[in-house]
Amino acid sequence: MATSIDYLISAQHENGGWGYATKQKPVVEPTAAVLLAIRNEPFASDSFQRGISWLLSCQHQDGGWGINKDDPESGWQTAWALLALRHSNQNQVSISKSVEWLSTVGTLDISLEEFQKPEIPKRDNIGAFIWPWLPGQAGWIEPTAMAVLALEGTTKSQLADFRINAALNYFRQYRTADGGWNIGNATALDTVVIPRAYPTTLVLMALSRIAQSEIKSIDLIGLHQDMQRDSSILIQSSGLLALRTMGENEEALISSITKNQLPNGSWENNPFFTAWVIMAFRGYL
Amino acid sequence: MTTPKVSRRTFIRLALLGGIGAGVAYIQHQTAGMGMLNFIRWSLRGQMQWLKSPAIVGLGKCPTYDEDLISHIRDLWDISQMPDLRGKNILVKPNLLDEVDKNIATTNPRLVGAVLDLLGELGVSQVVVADGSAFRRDTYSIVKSCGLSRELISRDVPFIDLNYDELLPVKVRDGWIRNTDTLWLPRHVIEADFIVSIPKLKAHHWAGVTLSLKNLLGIIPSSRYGWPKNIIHINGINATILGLYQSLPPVVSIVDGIIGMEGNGPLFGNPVQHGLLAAGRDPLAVDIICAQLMGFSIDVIPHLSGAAMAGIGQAKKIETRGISQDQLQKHYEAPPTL
Repeated sequence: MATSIDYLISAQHENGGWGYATKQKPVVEPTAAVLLAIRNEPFASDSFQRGISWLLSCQHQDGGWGINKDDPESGWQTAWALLALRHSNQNQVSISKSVEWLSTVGTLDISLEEFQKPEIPKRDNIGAFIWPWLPGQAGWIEPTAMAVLALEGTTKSQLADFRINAALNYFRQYRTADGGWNIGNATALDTVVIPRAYPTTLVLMALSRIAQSEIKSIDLIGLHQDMQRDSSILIQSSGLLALRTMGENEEALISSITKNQLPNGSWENNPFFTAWVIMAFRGYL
Repeated sequence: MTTPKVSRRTFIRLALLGGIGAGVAYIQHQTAGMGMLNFIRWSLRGQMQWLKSPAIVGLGKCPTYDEDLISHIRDLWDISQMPDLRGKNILVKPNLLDEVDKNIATTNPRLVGAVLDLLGELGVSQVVVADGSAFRRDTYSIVKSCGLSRELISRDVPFIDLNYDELLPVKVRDGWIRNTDTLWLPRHVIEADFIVSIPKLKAHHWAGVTLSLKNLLGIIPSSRYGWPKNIIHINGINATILGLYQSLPPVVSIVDGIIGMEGNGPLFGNPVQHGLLAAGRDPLAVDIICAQLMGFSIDVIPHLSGAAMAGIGQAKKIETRGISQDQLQKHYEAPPTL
């Protein structure tokens, strides 16, 4: 059987990026995830460099990324790109520009221009500061957690620190009754919503970087609950990574994921899913 | 000093001008957000529907999913004046929103299987089943958990997760999507000759009902717009439904109302044993009839009343065939917001 890294190298598009399926037209999210997965593999270094080059070729003038080069609007994919670029040990200008984009991206309540002023805008609602999927929109759990993961550890501004702190408060307030997080609100029209594994995974990993003590045992229960509902490789592998980050031993889960590997080394012929499995088995993002 | 006199003619002219001005101001106020020109264009197109042929909606009664579904669907197709799909490239779009604790939120997989069999009989060239969940990061997990994967594997029909398909820019049409002139849509959708929308008949806490038109929102790729199809929070769910529909290949409908959902849909409502199947080549007409059979007036369902006003389909003249509406009439508990 081929290894998962072999698969990722073979699945790379000729222009250097990766799509959500083998040889599919490249997209920023799977490309960044694969770069994170292969970054320490010596025999994938050429593949890694080509991937970084593709990523850099897609960066917009404003410092952000859309889905790929054809998409003119920068959005939530910027956090993924920044995470990957930070491990390339180069491209400091690109990194600085993307840190700036992510720190100042406008929300429903606060515009880019207001964020770019020297003083931090004043608003009572933390929702005004958290991260949207696309500029000018309301904030959601996943892009907020991804922005925290991408920005934490970079040389960032006071504004970025302020927004990360707002994100921490947001995570505190939007925890579901069963622990963990849904995609946004913890209730919808008076209905208590269930925790979702993927946003919970990202929040747990973000909290583990900025405020480990904020993680509650109930969050892991919520994560387990939804992992039982959703057997997909993406959820099982990303959930595994979160659990391992929390120090949980999940040998049975590792075994179950391993059984689903295809002969070509991939999981479901999907570079994005395969990258998540590699990161989960390795134990870090 | 004498007070200048206004002649009768001048007075009438001024009054007429004032009336026109007041009318324009009223329409401007009423159409804020959609644009007066759009409103006038849509209204005229809506009225033009009176001059067109009636839409045909086929209605069938099917008490359970254990029935001979292919026979039911075939009969329904025959009476509904559906288009000739021979040699066409078809994208089948069930509702695969989510499955939580064995609820009934998804289109029944056996019904999807029956539709696939019928499409085979009709001689289509290619068929894929596709959707993009609004809540789940991997839609195929829902395909598996609801049992649809068995139906697809046994027929060798591929499933496309529209959240992760290759995306192509499409010009928005008809003025419903604001602040952008481009929608990014999945390649498999754009390249289809027809979309067969197979919604689950459900009450919906935001849109009122989720039927053939609302079901199309699953097409919006979350890998571009975020989960859950976040453009609906910016553009409004009703305008987005209509703008998306206007940007798609032709859509035909087959509604799964064998077991519907009332109350707090689309996820947490209660099942209704309805026994309804409906079909038609005009999704608006099909949805209007289905909403009425749920006991809802379209006046309280903005995307249906908006589509009817704007002539996005035939709402003025609808002819039903098959089982009579009386035999299929129910009174669903309204969603909390209706």
